[in-house]
Amino acid sequence: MSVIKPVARRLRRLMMGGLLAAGMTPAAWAVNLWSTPTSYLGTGYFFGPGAYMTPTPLFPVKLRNMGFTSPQNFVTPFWNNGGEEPNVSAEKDFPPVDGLLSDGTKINENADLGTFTLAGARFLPAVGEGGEYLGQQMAETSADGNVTMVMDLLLDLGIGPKGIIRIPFRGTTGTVTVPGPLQNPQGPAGAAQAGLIKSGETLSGRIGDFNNDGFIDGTLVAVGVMPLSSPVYPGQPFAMARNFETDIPIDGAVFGSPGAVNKAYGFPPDEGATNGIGGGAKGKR
Amino acid sequence: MNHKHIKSPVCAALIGAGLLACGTADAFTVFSTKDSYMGAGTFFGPGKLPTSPLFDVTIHNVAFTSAATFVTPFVNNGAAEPNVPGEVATTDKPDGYFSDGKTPLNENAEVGPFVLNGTKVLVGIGGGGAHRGEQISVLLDKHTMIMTMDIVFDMGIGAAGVVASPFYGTTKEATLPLSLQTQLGIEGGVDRAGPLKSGDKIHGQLGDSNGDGRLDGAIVVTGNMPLTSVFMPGAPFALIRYFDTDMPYNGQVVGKLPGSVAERQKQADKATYAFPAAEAKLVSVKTAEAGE
Repeated sequence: MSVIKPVARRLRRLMMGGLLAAGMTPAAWAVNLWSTPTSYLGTGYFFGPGAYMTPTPLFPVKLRNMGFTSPQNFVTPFWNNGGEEPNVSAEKDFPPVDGLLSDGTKINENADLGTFTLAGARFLPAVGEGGEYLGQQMAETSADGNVTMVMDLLLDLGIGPKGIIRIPFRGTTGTVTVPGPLQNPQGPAGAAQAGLIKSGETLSGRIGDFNNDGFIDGTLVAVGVMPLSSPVYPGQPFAMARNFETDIPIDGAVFGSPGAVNKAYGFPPDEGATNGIGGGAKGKR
Repeated sequence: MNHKHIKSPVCAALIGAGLLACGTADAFTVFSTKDSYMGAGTFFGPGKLPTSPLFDVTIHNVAFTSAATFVTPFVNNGAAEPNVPGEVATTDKPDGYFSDGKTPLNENAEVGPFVLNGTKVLVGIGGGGAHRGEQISVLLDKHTMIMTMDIVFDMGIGAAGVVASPFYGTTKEATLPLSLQTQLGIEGGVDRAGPLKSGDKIHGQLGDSNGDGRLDGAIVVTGNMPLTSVFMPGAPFALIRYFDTDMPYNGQVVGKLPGSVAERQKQADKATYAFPAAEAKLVSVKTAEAGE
């Protein structure tokens, strides 16, 4: 054991050096959020748009490399390395796998989304570059503990610019109200409903540790209206409920503590510290 | 925040703008200036040049990606404010780029001008390299931190005077290398950096030396100027950079939700559909209709 530990430490440092040299942060330690058919309660459902009555299973989602910008708010940074691995899952169904939507928009490859089939049409869903949030997914926690997540969600039919639907996504574990349809010169663009849910009705989500695994999970609810320029169901309301899991401990995690890192490596918390001594080391002159 | 009353995409956009503002305001800051604890630090060499006081630097928007890793994301908005003071001091028309016109500055690293041997030099984190313009730091055991980035020295004379170099700083110890000429067996190398001789070691530190409850320390770096450099080619250099942060020395608890599940559950009582429980009901209704 006494021999293995130092070797393991050297290996770990070597690996860390390699990752840093490659410009990569250690992804295994980053914070992640996921929602897949096999995760707790599955992915969730999409309702509508408009009078399309069949609830549609949501596409799988894996958000990786999320960084905390404050104790409760976090961001999935924009990242794209073109056709190199890793690519987002849905791209496999929409070749070529090049990190781009069919109009050339770069995909945020930290947001790994699967193919979405809605009303018989297949879409490549993605968080795209630019837009309100500069290609990032951003999450804010309010005083009551509810989390609101925003991003520019793009649905790509794979036929170029005319087949791309840009939907500002605002999901919350709180409560949302289903909007009415948009108006066009002829009147309302469609029915005042998102499938089985009527405009004006409310949806609530939740957040906590409901599967009792020690990590945050919950359900985000989101509503919106398809843009009038959409090739499918233009101007019509939709709603969705997205179940998710994370690897964020429900009791929080201690970030940025040299003492905690020491403990993780099996050293006393203060090993190597220079605390409160004043003056500090100036190095050999 | 009462989400129930937020009903339009306009509100979503406003929230997004708010998040951007809050996100940046709440991120951590690393600073190393002549007025901070221990000052900014010292640059040794390169080669026979004497020591020089290090330029001021304040690194904004530092975000944790894990318990031991923090990153300064790459940000560059071109000529628009804010521009880094070092660029403002070394050019009449700051544009967010080094003088080669193609290497962007990470404007989250607010660097001051560096006066080296009487000449103003722009030093910054350059975009497009192995780190994609980011500064990445990792905490290791025994109070050791390493910090890496692609550092760029710019003499302000265009591409020929722009020198990019991998920066690997540590709070532990660094040894001054021989000049590249000596390493290659070529005559004319200068095997020193100011008062330091090749083989000398300089030491950093990490802890809370000023006892303010925040992480501080000293990062040491050694290296060589590239042989292609127009300025002291191949000569070794060293630096010690003192730094303060606003990061709590005992770490920051992140991800802990305020409020209580019980309080939040009250929202379900008022909603038409409370998820995830409503999911089964809605899906089964449609399934039953399909069966009919």
